[in-house]
Amino acid sequence: MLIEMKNISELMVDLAYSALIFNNKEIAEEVKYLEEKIDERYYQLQEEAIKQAIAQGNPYGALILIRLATSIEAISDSAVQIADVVLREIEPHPIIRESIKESDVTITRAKVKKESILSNKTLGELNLASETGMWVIAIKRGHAWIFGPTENTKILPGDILLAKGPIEGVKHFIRLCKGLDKKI
Amino acid sequence: MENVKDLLMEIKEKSELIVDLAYSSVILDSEDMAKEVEKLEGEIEELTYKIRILTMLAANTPDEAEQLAGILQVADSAKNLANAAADIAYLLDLDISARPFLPSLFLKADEKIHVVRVYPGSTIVNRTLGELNIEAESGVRVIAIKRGRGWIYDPEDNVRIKEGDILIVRGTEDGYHFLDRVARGEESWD
Repeated sequence: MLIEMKNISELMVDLAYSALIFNNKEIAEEVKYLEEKIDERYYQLQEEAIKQAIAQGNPYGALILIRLATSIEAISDSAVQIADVVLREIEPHPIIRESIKESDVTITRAKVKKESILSNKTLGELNLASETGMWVIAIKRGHAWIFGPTENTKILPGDILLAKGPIEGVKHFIRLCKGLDKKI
Repeated sequence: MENVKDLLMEIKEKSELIVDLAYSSVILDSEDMAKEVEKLEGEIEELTYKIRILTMLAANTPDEAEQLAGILQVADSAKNLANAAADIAYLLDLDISARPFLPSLFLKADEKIHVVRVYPGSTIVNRTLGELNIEAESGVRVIAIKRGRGWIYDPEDNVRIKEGDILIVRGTEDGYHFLDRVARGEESWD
């Protein structure tokens, strides 16, 4: 459960910066939704840890679990706070977008063309993150979103992929989506 | 505002680094790394303070002030995130007998942080991180290098890998396995 919390909190931070860079309220709302999931797990974990401590007659295991979970919960709160900037009436200041775009781990998006080799393959088959350093963190398909896609998620032509990775990987990623690069 | 942009970029990068280093310090049971986390936490605090001042100086109208408030909020959130991450590293302050299983909590299959030791004869020895383009080629990012008793945190592109280095990496499982085989000299990087 702790690793699951950690993974969700990391997705939240990535999505929060994505919401800012693309000034996208839907992504920001997803961050808020994920925060509810984190909270549920946080309470569950606290309860289980305490039960365990009583059963074992030793508080330290529970103490460490709870402190770790508390940090992870606080990280996810920060992600919500970041995403919240997008949910205001006023558009975020352009330098926020620029600062995210130019940092060494950046976020980009690209539309998958029919002729792209990514079309109709799962993320697991493509092994995109290992081959290019770019992690797909969300997919926009028509009006719907897939947040935090898994290995089994299939990429379809027309999908808009949001990916996080090193600046050096961005060009190749976009060319792959456009079908200009035929090899991963 | 160019300055604020650079500071904001720095705070974002450092807040991401501190999260990785905090988890790594726990996984490696490394008090050195926990000290680095503490240092980074101080730097992030300082950055937030600078951003606050520069941003306040830039506001001329109520609309501008509202946009600038967003910048302050992002900087502040990054700082909160860093504080939360630092608390993870501070678990190492607990007495060792109270936390024997701590590293193993994160040594699970789906964890993203791994340790790679570079053996003599590996094809990555004496090459820089930039030349290797490790992250784009293998999907793992080197977040720290242990060299002898010293550490290189968040190594730059011009850092050259030496035999005996211990690389702390973050990324995909496949990428880690590939890099590990290369570092052992069982496979060539190229």
